[in-house]
Amino acid sequence: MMHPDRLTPPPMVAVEHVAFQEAEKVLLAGGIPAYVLRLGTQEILRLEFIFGAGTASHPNPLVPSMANAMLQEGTTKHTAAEIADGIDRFGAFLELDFDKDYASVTLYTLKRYFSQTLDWVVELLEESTFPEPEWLIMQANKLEKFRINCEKVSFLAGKQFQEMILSGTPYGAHFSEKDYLGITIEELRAFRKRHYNLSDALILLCGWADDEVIKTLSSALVHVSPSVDGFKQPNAPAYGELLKPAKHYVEKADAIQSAIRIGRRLFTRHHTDYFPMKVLGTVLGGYFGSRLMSNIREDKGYTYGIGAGALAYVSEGWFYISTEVGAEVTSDALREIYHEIRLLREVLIPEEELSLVKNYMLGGLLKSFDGTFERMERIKGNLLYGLPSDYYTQYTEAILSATPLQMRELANRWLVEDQLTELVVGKQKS
Amino acid sequence: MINYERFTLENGLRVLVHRDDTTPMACMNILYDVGARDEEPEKTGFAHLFEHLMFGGSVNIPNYDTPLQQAGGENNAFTNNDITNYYLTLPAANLETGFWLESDRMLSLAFSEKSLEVQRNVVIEEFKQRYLNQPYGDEWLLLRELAYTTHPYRWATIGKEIAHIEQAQMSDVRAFFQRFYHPANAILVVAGNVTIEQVKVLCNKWFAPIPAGKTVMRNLPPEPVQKESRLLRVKRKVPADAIHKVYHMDGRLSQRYFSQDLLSDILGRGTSSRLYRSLVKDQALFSEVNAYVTGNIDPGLFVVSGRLRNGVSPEQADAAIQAEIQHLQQHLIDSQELEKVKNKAESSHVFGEMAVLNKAMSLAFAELLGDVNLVNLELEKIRAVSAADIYREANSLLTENNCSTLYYCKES
Repeated sequence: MMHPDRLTPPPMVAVEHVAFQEAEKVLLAGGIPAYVLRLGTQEILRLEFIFGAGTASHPNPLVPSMANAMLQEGTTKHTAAEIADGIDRFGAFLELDFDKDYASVTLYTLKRYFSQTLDWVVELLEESTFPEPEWLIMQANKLEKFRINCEKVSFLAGKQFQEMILSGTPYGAHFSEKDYLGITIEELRAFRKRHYNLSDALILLCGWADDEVIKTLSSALVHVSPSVDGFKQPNAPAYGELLKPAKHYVEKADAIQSAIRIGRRLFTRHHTDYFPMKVLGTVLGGYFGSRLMSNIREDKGYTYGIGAGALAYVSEGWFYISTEVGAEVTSDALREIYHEIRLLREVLIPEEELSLVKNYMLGGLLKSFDGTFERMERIKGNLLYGLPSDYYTQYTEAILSATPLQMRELANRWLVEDQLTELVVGKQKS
Repeated sequence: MINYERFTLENGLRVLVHRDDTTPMACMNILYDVGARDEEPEKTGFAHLFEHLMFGGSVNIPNYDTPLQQAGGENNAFTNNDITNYYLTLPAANLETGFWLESDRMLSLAFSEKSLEVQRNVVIEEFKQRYLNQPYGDEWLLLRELAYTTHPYRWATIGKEIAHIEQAQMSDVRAFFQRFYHPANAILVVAGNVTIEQVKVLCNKWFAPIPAGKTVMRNLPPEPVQKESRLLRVKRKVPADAIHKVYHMDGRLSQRYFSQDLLSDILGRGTSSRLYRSLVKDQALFSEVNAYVTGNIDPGLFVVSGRLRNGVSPEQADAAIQAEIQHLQQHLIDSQELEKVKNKAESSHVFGEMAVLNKAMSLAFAELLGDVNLVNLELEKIRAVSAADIYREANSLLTENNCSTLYYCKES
């Protein structure tokens, strides 16, 4: 038998281009648009309704999230139980979700039940009543869930860290137990009335979306006519005071691991440094072979995982490093993290390493277009964040053209130690 | 419906190819027929620790991840009680890089002391992060020990205790590799934008030269029939009480498995399920509740779990669950409710086939179960379940004597 040369890697081809496919903009009978991606091998559909109803759109960030969850708890015609049963009997899934900027209602269904399940979704978007008994149950259960989460160092750190670095921006609102208890049903109903209007929704449909499906959607929404603005990016006010970078320590006496978060406020996807920061974030902590993973997990064994990267909302962005480490090695881990950041500021990244990161990122980008749902996610991102249609071409070019010098400059501009906020939740010494 | 082609190399490696040319990617999924159930009772957690060591360099390639990332690929792996499964995706043009990497670590590892030392620590941190430093984190460590007296499902994949991981030696690593990591004990699935001819050529080049190993004989002690109900009550620092009731059920290959699975859906899948309607909504005793099956190859567990509202005692919660079960033991469910859970199972199945990697994993697991075509027969089997089957399972499975109950209470 022939033995292959196992010492030489097989030739590799670098990804240089990803194909972005625009959605078809279909005008429905009532005059509102839907974005449609007809793609896929299965007879299924995903239909999303997205509203500018994220947690930043109310001073109490719990109001938007609770209003989103209450949508399926009863309408003028049906109880919560009837709604749940009505959707489940067709094997469909309803997903209610929210982030800081947006809230959504998503239907996953077999194509053959589209018409029946769509009727339910339209009903709960237009006619939900937020019955008080259902609200009281939800309030109690969400509060219990919150109390449980507060026992987790990772949850506490994640929540407080965002509140710290994004304070003074639309995303900086703080919440605690009393904010669960303070919500009134009237407040939730008012929020729904103001933020959930089908005329203002972004409507996305993907999967086996043939003409018959489009017709069904069109007639289900025939009564919905466009509003003055239609769908638009939210524009929330700032909450809280802008805080200076600082080091914070919250002790959790019985913790056997400490959660560490380090980072800063940064910028949106429209900033010229956004793409290069994605590259730098990947070098530092964005993949398995990253500097932080190699040092803190694979060399020292301090953690199960550590990550870093640049993220952005509609009107702000931020940089983070995030990990949970053994309580007894908390200060060692902190020292190593700052050491890795300093190296980025002081030493040029070797060409070979940067080339690996580029290939990894481009492979990841290609993968992020793999499949119907993934493609729709990219289209959605462009619509939600107001990005140009050549956004991914620009991204690809920015990755390919990143240089060690540029990365070092970037680290000196954005990763200066005294501009970073540090939060440790857990135990610093055991 | 997942299409596939199948062939076997002379060294025993089973290969499945699934072509999907709508994707620019390719993936490789390698399932090794070894899980936590194959561990010795004094060396638990080893299959999973070993999975970590598979990334610590192979005989000819010092680092697994670097070349894969260089090829624009990504990978991960998981271990459970039954199997250890490794998978990677990469641009289809770079498929051979995957073959080079996976075949080298099937051939032999580097067995680096440093890697063993570091991964012991990493896994210990994983143990802490997932099981100890989380509210309710140790529930499954307790439940397994309660429900199983004999079968190795009595320990969790992470291991019984941290000490077992600390004690792992290089000699154990070598023996484990020798015994379980060879072609005849593995199933390779290549899926995505690939052709059968291309995969055959690559398999012959990279995997065929790996020497055949010795077939693994598995002889696990079966779990004796449980004769009386078991109850464990623990106190922990948590904000709310929780209850778990687990019942011994059939293994993955039994015909009855599907009836039992649907029974769990009727009881506790989603917001239209009986337990949710009754216990969370109508009676407001629970803040959350669900029912599901563990889906193990050997006889697994039928699980009912919930968290209690403040002021509700575990006994009261237990009685409320029993009442719902009793209802199913006394009345046939109507056809509409049965149709509902079947439709739900069907759409989960169809949505599960949207991603190439999922399809690859399903194929590998079905092949392991003994017939890759099971992957395409599953829906038929689910469709064939009748109301009478559900009634029978409710009566034979969900009995007092077959039940282990855990009351996980907050410290007062």
